[in-house]
Amino acid sequence: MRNKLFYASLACGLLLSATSCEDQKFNDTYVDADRIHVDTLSAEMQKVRDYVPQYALVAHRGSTFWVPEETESAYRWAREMGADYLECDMQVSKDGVVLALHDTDLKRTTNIEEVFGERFPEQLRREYYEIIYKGIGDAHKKFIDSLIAQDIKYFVPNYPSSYTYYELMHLDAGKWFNEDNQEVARKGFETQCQYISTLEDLIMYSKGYRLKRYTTDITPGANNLVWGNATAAAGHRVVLSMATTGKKITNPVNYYTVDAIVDYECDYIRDEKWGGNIPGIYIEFKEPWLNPAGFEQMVYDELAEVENMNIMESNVPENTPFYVNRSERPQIGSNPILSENGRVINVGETRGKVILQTFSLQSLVQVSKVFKGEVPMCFLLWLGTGATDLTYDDPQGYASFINLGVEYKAHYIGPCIAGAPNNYPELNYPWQHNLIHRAKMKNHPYSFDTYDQMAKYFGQYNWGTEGGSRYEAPYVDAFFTNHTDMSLQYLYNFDWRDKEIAPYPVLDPNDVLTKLGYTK
Amino acid sequence: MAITIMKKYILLPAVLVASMLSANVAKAQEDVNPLLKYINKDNGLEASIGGRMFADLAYYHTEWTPMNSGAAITDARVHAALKYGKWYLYADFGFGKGEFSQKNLFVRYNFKESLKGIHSVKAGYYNEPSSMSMMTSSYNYHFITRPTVAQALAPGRALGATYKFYSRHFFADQGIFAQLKYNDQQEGYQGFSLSGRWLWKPVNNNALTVQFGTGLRYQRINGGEVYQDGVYKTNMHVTSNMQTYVDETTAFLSCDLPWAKDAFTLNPEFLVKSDRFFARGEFTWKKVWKDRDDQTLFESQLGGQQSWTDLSGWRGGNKLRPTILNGGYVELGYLIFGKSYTYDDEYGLLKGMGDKNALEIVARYSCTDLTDITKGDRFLIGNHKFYPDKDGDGIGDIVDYPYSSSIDGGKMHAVTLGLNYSFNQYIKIMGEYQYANLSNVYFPDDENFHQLQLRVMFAF
Repeated sequence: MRNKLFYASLACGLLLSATSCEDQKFNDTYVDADRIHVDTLSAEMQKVRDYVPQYALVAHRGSTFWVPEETESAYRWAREMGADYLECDMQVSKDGVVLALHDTDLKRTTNIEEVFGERFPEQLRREYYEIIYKGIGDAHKKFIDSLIAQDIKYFVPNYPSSYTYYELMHLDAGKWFNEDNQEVARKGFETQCQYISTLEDLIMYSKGYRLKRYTTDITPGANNLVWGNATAAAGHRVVLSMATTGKKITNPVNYYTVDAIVDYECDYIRDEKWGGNIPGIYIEFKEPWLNPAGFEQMVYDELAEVENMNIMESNVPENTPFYVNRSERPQIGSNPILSENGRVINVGETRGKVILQTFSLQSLVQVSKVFKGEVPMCFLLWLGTGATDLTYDDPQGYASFINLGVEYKAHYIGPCIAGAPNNYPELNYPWQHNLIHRAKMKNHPYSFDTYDQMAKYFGQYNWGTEGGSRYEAPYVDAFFTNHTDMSLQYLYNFDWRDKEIAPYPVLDPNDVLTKLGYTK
Repeated sequence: MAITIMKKYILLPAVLVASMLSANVAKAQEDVNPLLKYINKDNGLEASIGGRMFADLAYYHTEWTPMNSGAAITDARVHAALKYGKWYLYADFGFGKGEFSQKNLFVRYNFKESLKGIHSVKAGYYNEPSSMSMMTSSYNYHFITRPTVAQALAPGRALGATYKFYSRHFFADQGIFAQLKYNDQQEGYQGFSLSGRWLWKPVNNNALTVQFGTGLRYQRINGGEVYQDGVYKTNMHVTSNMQTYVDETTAFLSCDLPWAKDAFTLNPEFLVKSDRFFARGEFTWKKVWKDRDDQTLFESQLGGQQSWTDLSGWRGGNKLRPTILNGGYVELGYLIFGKSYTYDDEYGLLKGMGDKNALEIVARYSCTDLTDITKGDRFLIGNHKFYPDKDGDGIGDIVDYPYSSSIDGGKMHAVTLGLNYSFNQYIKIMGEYQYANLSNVYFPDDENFHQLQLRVMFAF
């Protein structure tokens, strides 16, 4: 009996030794990516997802390469070049103006250091209060003094929300670009003062407008010209009125002071260079701590108020085409920049006219509550250890963020891509793109700067083939680019965009800038 | 007649003491009766050297995260022991995986051997007396590894000194130990622990032993690292393997308790042993208190727009709370062939199976809970963060900041069935099957673990 047990145990050992060799395992990303569970978009959400054209080109901040980012010049250029979307980041001024501005610190993209330094702009703030709180007498003076005293007490320099838009209009958002990018610098970026854009500005640019500016024919100081009443010179933008709205916001930066929201009636004119393109806008909600509570609702309301951009509040026909003939744009500019084939971008007139985006998990949740998944929404991914970052980019970690996107009504995932010059971390491996598709979402990676990147993610190179036949290029459904010209050319060259349907051929970027008046 | 009775009263305890001492001399720390001995009766000197080796073979089946099946030398040691009068010196060193590691190194002195029991003091580097499982030599264990709860929550070896008393019915072993055996903390004084194990054996004879007791341990953690702005940060790392050594991964059951400062461990235990059967078990409950220099850390983050503006707000965003971890196990054994199970009075432990051609079947259930998750918290594996339930709906709310201070080191239930065979006390083989059920937010797709193990070991 003992001998039998002994031999039985020996046999078990031999069996173990055999089985342990035949099924050797190791972490295989492709295997894990295949078997990981991802939630999927509902049919209703998929329908909203498809409001956006396939391989849509998103002009990242207009462009960070050719023009000062997120300014009038950037958006006019991208519009005329034929981008499908104009992209921006949203912040808020102290008086509640929604800005199109990336950096949370004004130093890099404006001349704030020479205009304000880190001083509280008391003189301008008094001017501002005198405009919006008209009055006379000691009581009025005391009231203004009390406002100024409080503002001084809680002032934090360099943050956009520390300044009223009235003050922000005193900053130049174009000069820095010429100083930092001499090879593409243009005098026109300085002579046509580039302002910090507002969301309203962006919408108007997308619709073929430009800022109305003072000319020698308009006399500063006229009664209806609020902005620059005393100081504006020719070339500065026109603001027709400034008035409090009765609404308040809690300032996120100035130690939670409560500020009055002011309505600026800015003036725009039809852009004489507009060739008929109406791109959509792709607007980013930043982290909630940079914006006041209820910011998502503010944006919702503004989209509803300006040019019917909120599709939840307007009736946009379902099958409006993304590209149309120029003949459908009778109102094009007097001296337009035209495409040769007579086609124009029409994305801005479709249900996909606005795409929302955010990196912030909290904003993702808030946006889902306000927009309810009825407006296309992209959940952006960045690899890192910050508050909003994806930190573990293995299949489980990546899928968890996709699932978060599905849960909170995003339609797209926007991963960062590798490659010079930004050298972002890679979050758009073919298996990751595949996971996004398995969730019935679409993939909007950012930001393309080079031909190499286009070739890599559109499958011209053999990148991703190690995953076998399960992954098929392109690993992109729409994309953010800083080089609309290069990216468009690539799409046409490799037949990702129909030359008969969309505006063709691609215009020369320098030529367009010159035609737009931004002379060298 | 009176003399006879008196002799009886004197002789019986004396025989008991002598028998305990003789066992003590022969097997004080060694796994087996040493084969290589030098005895000098004239000088009362006895020296021995020995060694042991374990070779394990394992096959693992997991659902998501692979474990590496294969074979490994899981232990290799040499030891030397010296008895001189009432003094006993012992040293052993591991060289498994080609790496030197310090194991036991101590001296013991039996200063009183009375009719009521034996008193001794011991100093050096050895296991803190707290857990029955951890006190048992791996060679004499009836399973291939100790249970996860003992690995995770019971103390191991430390540098210290103890006083021990034991008799037929009582056992008390207690002492003080240093936190770091090489005093290699960055700054300041290192910590210490007070450990003890106390047993009562209402029945203790050759046929049957019934034992109840508890271990208690207080631990003061001082050794740590400089975190920022001169703030000294302590940490307690709690971890266990999956009750296997071929793949020693501790990822599935592991957590850090940053800012751990004081810890108290309660460790009740029981043991029942007859000739052919044993049952024993322990439950371990550990509470860890934390301490952090909030004022300095708060002040060091001031100066930015995103700074917390008051200490209470900072504390609200950087919560710190005590953590409670626990677990337990029950082990059963039945000796199919062999003379009998035996008991070690000196250590209050079941001895290893060492009879010639003995065969036993064993079973174990163990549970280890290293979780401290606030109710309603939601975990996101993409960033390894817990999100607190702010709106009270029972589901954590996704925000950018702040996060919850929940901890999940894993919760595991495991059932082990084993068959052990000893050729003699020097050579044994062990075979085990184990099923483990894991719950760990960091391993959401790893729930069921199966493993087969085989061990060949010898000692001399």
